[in-house]
Amino acid sequence: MRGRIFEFSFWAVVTIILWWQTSLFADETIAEYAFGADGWVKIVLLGIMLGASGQLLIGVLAARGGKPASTPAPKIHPKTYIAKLLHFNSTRLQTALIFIAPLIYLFLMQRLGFFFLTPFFIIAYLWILEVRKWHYLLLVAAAVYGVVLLIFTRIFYVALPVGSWEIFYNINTSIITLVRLGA
Amino acid sequence: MTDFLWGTAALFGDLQTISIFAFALFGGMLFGAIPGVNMLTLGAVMLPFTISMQPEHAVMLFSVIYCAGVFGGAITAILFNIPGAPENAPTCFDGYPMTTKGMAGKAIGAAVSFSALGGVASAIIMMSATPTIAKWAVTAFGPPEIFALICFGLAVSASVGAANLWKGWMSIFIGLAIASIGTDPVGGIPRFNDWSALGFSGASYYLSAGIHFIPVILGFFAVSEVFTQAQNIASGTRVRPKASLQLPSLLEFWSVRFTALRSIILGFFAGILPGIGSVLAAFLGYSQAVRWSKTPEKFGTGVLDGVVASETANNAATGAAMIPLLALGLPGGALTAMMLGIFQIHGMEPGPLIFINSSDLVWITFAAMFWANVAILGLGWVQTKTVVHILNVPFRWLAPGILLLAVIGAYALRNLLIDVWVMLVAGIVGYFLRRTGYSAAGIVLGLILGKIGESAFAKSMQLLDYSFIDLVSRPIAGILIAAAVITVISGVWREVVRYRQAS
Repeated sequence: MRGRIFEFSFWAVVTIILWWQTSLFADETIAEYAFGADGWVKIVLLGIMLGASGQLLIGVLAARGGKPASTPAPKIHPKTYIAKLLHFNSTRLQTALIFIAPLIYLFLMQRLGFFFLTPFFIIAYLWILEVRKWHYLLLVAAAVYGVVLLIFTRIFYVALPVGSWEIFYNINTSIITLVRLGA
Repeated sequence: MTDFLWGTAALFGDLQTISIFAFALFGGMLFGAIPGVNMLTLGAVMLPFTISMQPEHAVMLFSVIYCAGVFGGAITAILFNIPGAPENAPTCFDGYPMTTKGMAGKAIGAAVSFSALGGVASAIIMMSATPTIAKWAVTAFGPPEIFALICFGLAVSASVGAANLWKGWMSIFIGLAIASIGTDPVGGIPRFNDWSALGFSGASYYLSAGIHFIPVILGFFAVSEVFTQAQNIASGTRVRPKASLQLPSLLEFWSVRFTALRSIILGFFAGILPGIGSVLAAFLGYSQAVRWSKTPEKFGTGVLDGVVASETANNAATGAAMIPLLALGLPGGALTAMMLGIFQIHGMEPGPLIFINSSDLVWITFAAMFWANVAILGLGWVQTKTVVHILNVPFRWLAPGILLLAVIGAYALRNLLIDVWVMLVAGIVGYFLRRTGYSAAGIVLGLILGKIGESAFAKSMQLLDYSFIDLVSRPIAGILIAAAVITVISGVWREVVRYRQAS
């Protein structure tokens, strides 16, 4: 039930913020259109609130129905508990890295460029996904990077970020020139 | 029939024409299958070369690219949950779960067969009744009817892929809310672009242009799937899918006959409508398959009907999209707009007279589209036997590659890094929304149809002097809105019954 209330509150806050945002463009009248720029948006926001309310209602009705409380956790031996806790923490760290690594990759891409940064990202992500043997790391990274360069840079000439820092810009453009050599 | 045979003879009687046909077929399938590039990319690259081509070759090239490109995107949708194009998004809903259940061969086999069937059926209808259908569709479907059709499409899609009806509706409305970011379709007033009061000022220009649906689709499907599978690897719960080569049996083909027939009809009529096209066709085909199924709760878990419904419908829309283009000069989407450009380059004007003045061009195009769909059947079966083996590669090796394809796909759209940020954020949000029972399909559908829906609604209101009575009094609009209302009420009723049974 607490989860449902949290979910409802979340959507209520989002809707209130967006509704407040509509006030920034609501007073801009559109000639020959009575509903203005905010009419459609407000209907959509009401729809979100209606859905969230329905969700909450289901939760309230389910709670009234009296679902059984969760069973107490069984007692665990201290040694097993520590081992489980360590495993749990390492899994949480790994899960966090799964989400954070692409964000860091993207943050750095603007500065260091796609071509320079990508091999490091591939190796890092493989490592996060428990590929530990160095020859696999290098071979898979080389294969993925090679195929991407071949298809998108050499054959299709797809433009990709080349970095904003000068030294990396030069490295990236050199890689592009190298890949397109003789093309 | 004589015209079709003449078109076929002209197509295969000349080596140059065969070469262009083969190039378009393979190119379309390849570009359709690789996220980051698509059939539009190939079309844009080829457009300058059409100046030196004969007009019938140029139009044929684009029409075959269109057929093959729509099919090509199904393969990555089924194998990796990455739709090659937006019209392949509904194929992910059941195609990818079939892969995880070790039924990739069946899913791809069905996609190949029914893509070809949808395309061939559409080509036959197109050949037999283009001028009549075009005249009817364009005069009968004004903004009120398009708005009503979108309402109906959204109503039937609300239950697809969500944990319950409320979450399904919320998913649709979230999609509609995202679609409302950017300039409004009537007065061009920017919306949701000013966040300086909350300390965000950098994204103003980007938000003024709106959020494009391609990064969102890549995020919701490809990126969130990588996160889900990677998390399963981390927790040691990932089950590797079997690379099964088992193809659908004749009995299975027979069992989906009504789904296929329904999708052909829906796909064809959605394809005729300018601006609606194959994306809505695929979603409508899928949602109606759910609506009429005896076991709707199984959709989204990997059922053959789901793949058949969307792939038949989106390919059925390809032939239909040619009807308003050829008969009235109205392009339904970006690729058909490029084809209109070809007509202009060669000093021709599409319209009813094109069937008299340039019948060579029309019949070579029709024959090429028909034979392209037949060729998809042959090539697709070969492809099925080969691409399924990709599943033997461990996912942890594929994951960085899938992320890179998504990054390239999002960036290549407009050469904006912020599109890639949108994709990643959509991936993270999509991961959590999926875990909490929201529907990625609903959000994407709301996002795709939101702008068209709002624009059609605004035009309808101006046209009908803000009278909702007049809106529902129009026969087609009235029937579609009534069907939408009935769908919503029956959905709520089913939810109440389910709740009563559960309690």
